[in-house]
Amino acid sequence: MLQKKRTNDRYIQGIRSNDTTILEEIYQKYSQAIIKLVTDNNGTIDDARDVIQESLIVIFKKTKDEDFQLTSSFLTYFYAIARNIWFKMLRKKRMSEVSINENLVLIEKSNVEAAIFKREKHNFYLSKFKKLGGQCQQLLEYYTQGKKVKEIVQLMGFSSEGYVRKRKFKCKEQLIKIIKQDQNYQELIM
Amino acid sequence: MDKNNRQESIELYLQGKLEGQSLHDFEQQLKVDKTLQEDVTISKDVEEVINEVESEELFKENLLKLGGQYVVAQKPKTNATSFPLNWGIIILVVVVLAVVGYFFWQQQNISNSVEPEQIFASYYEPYPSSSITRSNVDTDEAYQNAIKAYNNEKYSEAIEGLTTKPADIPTQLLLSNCYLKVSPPETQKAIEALKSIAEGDSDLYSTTANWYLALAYLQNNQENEAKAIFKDLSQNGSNRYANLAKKILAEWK
Repeated sequence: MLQKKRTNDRYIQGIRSNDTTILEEIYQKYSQAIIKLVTDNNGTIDDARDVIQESLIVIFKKTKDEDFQLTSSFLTYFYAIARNIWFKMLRKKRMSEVSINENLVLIEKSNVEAAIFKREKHNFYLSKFKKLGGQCQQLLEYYTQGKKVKEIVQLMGFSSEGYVRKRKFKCKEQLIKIIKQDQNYQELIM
Repeated sequence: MDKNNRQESIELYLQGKLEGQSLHDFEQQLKVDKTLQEDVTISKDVEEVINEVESEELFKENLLKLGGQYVVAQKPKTNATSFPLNWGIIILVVVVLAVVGYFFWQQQNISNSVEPEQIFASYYEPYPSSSITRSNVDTDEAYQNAIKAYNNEKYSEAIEGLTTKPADIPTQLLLSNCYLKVSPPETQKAIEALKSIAEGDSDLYSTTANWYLALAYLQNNQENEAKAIFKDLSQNGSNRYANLAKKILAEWK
């Protein structure tokens, strides 16, 4: 029990800090289980690679929450996320006949779904952010990184601090407009 | 609410900087204005997304490398029973291959004794700065610039900023890598820094530190020290460094 917690903590900490050694250990130990899940259910090795990557990003984002703790083993959680992601991908590919070979008991279902939903929302916002002009993207990034307005003036060669502030609000307004204009937005907030 | 100040008010509200009557008015408006509610939610979410863009991209980069390395198609297994067998031909092929292989191996031994510099050049990759936690990067501008310099391979420029965090092990790993990569290399400094990590309390980083320590020894022409570490690494589980160390030992005559 204690060992499981120690391993979980080590993995969570390693994922949170993007530690290559820990990530390698995770790939070595668990990728075969996910490859099997995907390839047994109409997927290819390339699909499996994407599923593993997406699953680890979902966990990476969860680890940003300081209170995040696993109540199951890491494999169970990782597998549950991968399974959800893969079946969502399959649904998108409109493969109606899907046989699910399921050996593991799934737990934390709502947690897993919430984490995946958050990731989808994040991807949606990020894709809209990338549609902004390069200058707007850079400006908003500097702001969220906590850079001072004075510094941004210098870094971006703007004429004044007032202009930087005004431009920031304009960029943010533009981003919100792009987001709300997308038909997927309504689906996302329902 | 003045349309021009709308986004500004949302920002101030989210930052907790809206006060007094302005705050009261905003909250009243928020109760009844569905569009404003939406805009506040989006603003908040978007802020979070932008804040994580950089760290997520670094994480993804790491996963892309590892995915390419560990999630690969297995070679198809040949089915021995269904394969048409002609033992005479098979034995002949095996013998021919063995003879050719033997001569090839002899030639390799004669002409390709691997030099330490060759091993260093083939196996050295800078420690990824993506192992640095975002909180570190955010809090200190000099440090942030050092990381940028490191990523742009401006190692001598990076050194000063990286020396500001002597207690942070990933930072010390980056610093050691800078010492290995500056021109001329400051290998002795790298060896000292890496030794102290490898011998320290952190199990998490000791393998990584040992790997770079062995490479530093190679750069310093201390072949025996390097070999001893590669041997230890190769016997220590099946992580990436263990596999690489096995490969190096196999190549190194």
